[in-house]
Amino acid sequence: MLKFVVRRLALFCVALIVLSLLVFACLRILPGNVAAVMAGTNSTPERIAALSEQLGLNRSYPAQYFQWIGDLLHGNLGTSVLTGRSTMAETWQRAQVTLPLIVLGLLLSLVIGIPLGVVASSHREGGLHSVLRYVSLTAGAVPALWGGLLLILVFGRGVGLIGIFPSQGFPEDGWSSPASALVSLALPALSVGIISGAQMMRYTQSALDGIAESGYITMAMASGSTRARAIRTTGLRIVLPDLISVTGLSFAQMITGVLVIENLFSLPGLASMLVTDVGNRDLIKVQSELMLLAAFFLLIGLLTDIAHRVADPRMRGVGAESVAPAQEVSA
Amino acid sequence: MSLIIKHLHVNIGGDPGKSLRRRSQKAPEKKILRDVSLHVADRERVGLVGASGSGKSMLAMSVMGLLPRTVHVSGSAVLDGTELIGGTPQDLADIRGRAVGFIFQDPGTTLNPVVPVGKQIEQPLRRHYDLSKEDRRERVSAMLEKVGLGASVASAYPHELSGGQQQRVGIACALITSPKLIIADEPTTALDAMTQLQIVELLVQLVDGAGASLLFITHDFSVLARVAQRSYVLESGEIVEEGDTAGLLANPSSQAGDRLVTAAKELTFARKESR
Ligand SMILES: Nc1ncnc2c1ncn2[C@@H]1O[C@H](COP(=O)(O)OP(=O)(O)OP(=O)(O)O)[C@@H](O)[C@H]1O
Ligand SMILES: [Mg+2]
Repeated sequence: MLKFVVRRLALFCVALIVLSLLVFACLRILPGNVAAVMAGTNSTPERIAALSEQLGLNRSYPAQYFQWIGDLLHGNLGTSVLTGRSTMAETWQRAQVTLPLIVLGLLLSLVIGIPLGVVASSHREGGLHSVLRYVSLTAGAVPALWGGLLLILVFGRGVGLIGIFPSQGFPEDGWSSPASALVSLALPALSVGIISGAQMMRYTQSALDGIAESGYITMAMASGSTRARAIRTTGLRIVLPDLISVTGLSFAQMITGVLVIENLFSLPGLASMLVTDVGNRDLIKVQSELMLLAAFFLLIGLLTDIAHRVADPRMRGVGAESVAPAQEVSA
Repeated sequence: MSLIIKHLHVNIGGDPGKSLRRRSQKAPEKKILRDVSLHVADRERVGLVGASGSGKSMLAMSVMGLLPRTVHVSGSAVLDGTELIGGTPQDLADIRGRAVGFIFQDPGTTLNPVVPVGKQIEQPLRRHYDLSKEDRRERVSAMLEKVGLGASVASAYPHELSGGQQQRVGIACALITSPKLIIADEPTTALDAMTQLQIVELLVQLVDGAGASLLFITHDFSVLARVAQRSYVLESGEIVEEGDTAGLLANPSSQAGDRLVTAAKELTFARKESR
């Protein structure tokens, strides 16, 4: 297990370095001088030269790269030349909107998806099975934007039929008023959570359906469970490692979904910051933001893999190597 | 404990009712078991032999409610005065693992791969009895010793055990609650000859020691002589022969019985020659 974690960590670092090179190279290979793009179309050559100087863009590429990485490692993301604000401070402030939103969405997704998936699977022979299946197919196919709009129309304060939740913005003082902060995240979290929950449900159900008539379930029944109970306990435990992997994936998916949702609900989060900065052509800041985003994705992948290992004893410990090929076949 | 099965019919497919979609693609019904009658008396060890596909597993699973609802079971199966056919899922679950223990053919596909075996042996106790954690652990340790495994095996996962060890765990799962009827569905088929013998000896010893009855299912006549006093021969879903095992082995009266006996003899012969 330890060996696995170390190896996986090494891989994580390598991937980070490769990604940083990629992000760095992209911004410089793209047509147009970075400083010229940042300065805007109507700026004078003097202004561009000054900006180049200020950003250190006239130094060699390796010098720029190592400067950037060194700053990143020290948690220094620089200050935006356009706004003059510290990128780190702004990122931290906005993360306080986005991260809770993602976590809430994910929790909702699990709380909705897994129980419904279990119910659907343990009623495989009844009508409820097909009803739930259609519901999940429909809900899972709804685009986040459309689902969010629908929720606003139903629950949005001021516009909705049952206007109980705010649909725009986030409290000025952030989490120092926890209740109103939480409430303002309710509809956005529901928008991403329901859609992802529908996918989670379909996944849970099909994973459980796959083993519902297996020897494992028969054995659990022989020990004194009804089929429904056996599916709920033994079945769920057996598919848990797969559910963990899927959760990791929907976590990553949710980050993309949040991009749309933050803008729809006017939330001052990371996604809307990224959109604004790209719009302002604040390229140096975008560079750091992309890097952080990539690191976050990689981190989720890392944590998912480790949790998967922990949940599946067949992959743990000494026997790990001998099990690996079988896993590839099933994947 | 006695089990009396009378006129058992098992069909698969046909109309499960309810969903429209399914009704439109109604598959023809397939008869798996036809008018099967058999009984296991208190403390008796009974064999059920038949070729692969004759319906032995279906027989064992159908009376205990282990089959999906798409399988239709009719007839009667009485366990010490309690009718099993038509019982609710909960009624049957209450009986399984308490009054009746099951041992399956392949522990590799029945033991939960992600749970330590000690926890699995404990399952029937948890389902049916209200015992303290220490109590349960003690019983599991004692049971593991009984089936010839050390108490330390409790924390092992199935994939860390050999086939023979896994089947010993399977037996421990079936016997932990001291059920009075054991149904063993080809418990030795997945094992090599030496291990087969050990497992059969162990099973017989434990069943007799507990004063339980045994329904031993197999397609291999060669182990049957050791296990069963009386045996039934199943062929294409029907009982074609019944009698005491020694007599059956000496001169089977049905074709199916004859084939199985011949096959067992040839196998034994081949085994001796290859030594
Ligand atoms: N889900 C199913 N649908 C249709 N037919 C089935 C199904 N399951 C089993 N059968 C049929 O039921 C018959 C009996 O199967 P069963 O598993 O009881 O055989 P068996 O005697 O236990 O054989 P083996 O020695 O190989 O375990 C077989 O002919 C099989 O084809
Ligand atoms: Mg069978």
